[in-house]
Amino acid sequence: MTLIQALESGRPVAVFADGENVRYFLDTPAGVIHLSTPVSQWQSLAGRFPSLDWFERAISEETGLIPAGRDNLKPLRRHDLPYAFYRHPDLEVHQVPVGPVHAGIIEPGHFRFSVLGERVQNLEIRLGYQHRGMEKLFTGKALDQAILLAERVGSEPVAHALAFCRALEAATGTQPPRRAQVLRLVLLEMERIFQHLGHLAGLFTDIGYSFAAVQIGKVRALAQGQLEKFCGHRYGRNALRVGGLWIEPDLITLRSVQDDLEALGQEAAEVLGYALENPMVLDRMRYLGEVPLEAALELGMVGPAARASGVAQDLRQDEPLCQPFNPVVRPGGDVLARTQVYTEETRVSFELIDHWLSDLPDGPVHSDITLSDGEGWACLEAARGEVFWFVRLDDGKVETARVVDPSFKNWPGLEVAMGGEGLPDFPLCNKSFDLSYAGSDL
Amino acid sequence: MSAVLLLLLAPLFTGCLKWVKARLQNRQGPGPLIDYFNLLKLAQKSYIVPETASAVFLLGPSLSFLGAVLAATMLPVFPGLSFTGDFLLVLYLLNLGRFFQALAALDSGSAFGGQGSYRESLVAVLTEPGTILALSAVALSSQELSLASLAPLSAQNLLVYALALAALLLSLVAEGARMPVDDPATHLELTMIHEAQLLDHSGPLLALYELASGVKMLSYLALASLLLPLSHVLAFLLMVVLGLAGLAIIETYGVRLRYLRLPDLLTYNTLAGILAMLGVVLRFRI
Repeated sequence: MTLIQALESGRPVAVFADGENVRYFLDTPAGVIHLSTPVSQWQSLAGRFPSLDWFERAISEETGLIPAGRDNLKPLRRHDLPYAFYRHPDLEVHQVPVGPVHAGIIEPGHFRFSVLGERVQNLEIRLGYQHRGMEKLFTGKALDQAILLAERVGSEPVAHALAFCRALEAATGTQPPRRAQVLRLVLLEMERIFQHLGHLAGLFTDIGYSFAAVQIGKVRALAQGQLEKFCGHRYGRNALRVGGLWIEPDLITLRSVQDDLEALGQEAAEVLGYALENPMVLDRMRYLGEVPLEAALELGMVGPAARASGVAQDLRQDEPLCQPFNPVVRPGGDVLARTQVYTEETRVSFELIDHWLSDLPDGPVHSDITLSDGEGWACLEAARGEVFWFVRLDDGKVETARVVDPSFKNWPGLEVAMGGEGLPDFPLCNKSFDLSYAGSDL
Repeated sequence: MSAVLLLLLAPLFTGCLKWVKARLQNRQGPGPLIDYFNLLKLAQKSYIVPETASAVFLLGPSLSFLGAVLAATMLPVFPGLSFTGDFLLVLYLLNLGRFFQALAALDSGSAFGGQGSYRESLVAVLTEPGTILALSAVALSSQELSLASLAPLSAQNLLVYALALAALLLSLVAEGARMPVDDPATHLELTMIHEAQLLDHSGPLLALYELASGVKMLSYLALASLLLPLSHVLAFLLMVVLGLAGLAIIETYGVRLRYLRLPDLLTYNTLAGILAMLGVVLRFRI
């Protein structure tokens, strides 16, 4: 299959420069395929496939190469290169710069709005304020150190650590024991629960519905407490290792986590049930920040944001332990649809955990790995969407690590969603995507 | 006397509001006296003036505070200054503060100052007619044009007074920048109306703004309390408690309106004012 054919039937999972090649990992109906082009023949395809835009910009600023046929290359993460913001041809339209320093304690990002009165004509997002050369830090690191870094790449430690481990297990041909596989997924779903509840609490805060925000925030904190009970860390750090797990929860802990999560699941469902029936909540969320299905597909969006636009794509469909699995899909692509996806997915995650913990296989939680030179990749469904990791080992150490955080693919969706909306509705719209700045900036 | 009472009571009112809200949300929250400590803390800090700003930047908080205090002196919670047409002066003294606040925010040179200024001006434009009409209707129906000598509530003026009360309470929410018009607790600059104007003011300047905003809210409650058939002090205290409870409930269980929907809500304010006026002119009776 040629590159163009693959892009026509699918979307990019990861694109990066690797030595003399530009490597494409593409999701097609036949599964994820891997293609590569020599750097000298690298052609720009972003005009035809907008989903490649950010990838091309990232590669170009990293390597200094310019793909043939592309002229308007703006830097993505670096701030030492010249950058020209979009200027609206209509002089009545004025620009509102927001950030990177905000009034609240949130991550830094710059948003340049072109507005006519309060109506947004165009939004341009500029990130990179948290670019810390994350991928380069991996070079030469032993696995024990590298996984600590992997947990700090984005806002989802478990998902990143798990994808990192799976990439290495693919590289070395290791199969973790079944008990470890299940417990890893339990951790991943617990992470999804507290992340989703955090998004939902944030959404209610942004519309001033403080009662629901505080109640959901409480459940979120208690869910994180369960994660701490389970693995010793409220964000699930230091639990995973290549080949399995560091932790070995005993039966009493497992029972207690299962019971407490069941109660928390009911409480979350109750609060979300009445909050999402509140007509004032619906008034704020409905028809706001719409991303049509075509745009979501064109931009290659992933995760809950894509599923809220009607894209039936969730990597858990391919996860053998999740079977049978139906992705939560909503039409519409507005803030309400995204909120409903978060709500429904939280419920599904509580169910999955309960199902797994009721029937946990016995056995060890770690299998030894034999370090060998080679490369491997993995992608999995984190709370925000698809996390991709590529790792190459050399002499028992990481030689190259490549990460694509789901937020990287969803930021352009926010630009689309804001077209024609009111400026005061931006924070709510932004929150409904809940994108990670650190994960995209790397 | 009234001004002193309102000044002393303002931090307690805003502090109690935060405390009651926290309790309604199942949170512990800071104690009701928090805002006295806040003001004390802010007063001891230094302040920063943006490089682009002129003296207007300092006038904003000072005149905002002065306007609110002067308006409060004319409120007949306790007998004090009173003359024909004083209700108009009270309203426009409160608006004077806002005018300079908008100028100071524009003067700061930040995009958010300008944004807060035009948004709050819009809210003011939408609120003003209702407030003026409502108070004028009450004054006309009393045939006395000063706040201290409004006629007591009776069967003759019940309708006018009820409409005026509704208009004044809506004005309180809009002028006090409370939910559902504005969210005083938000940290999101783009959604801010009133708070966006204060972003560049710090230390004692911010303290003046905070105090002025508390006094302003109490002033509207005092105006509304004049319509109750009780002695002025008693009516005022009752109104403060009711206002506190009402605001706490709205801000806990309510949802903030979309900014572009504000005119829908504030139309009711004008409508109530117009109806009250018609009530006087056409001598509606129940």
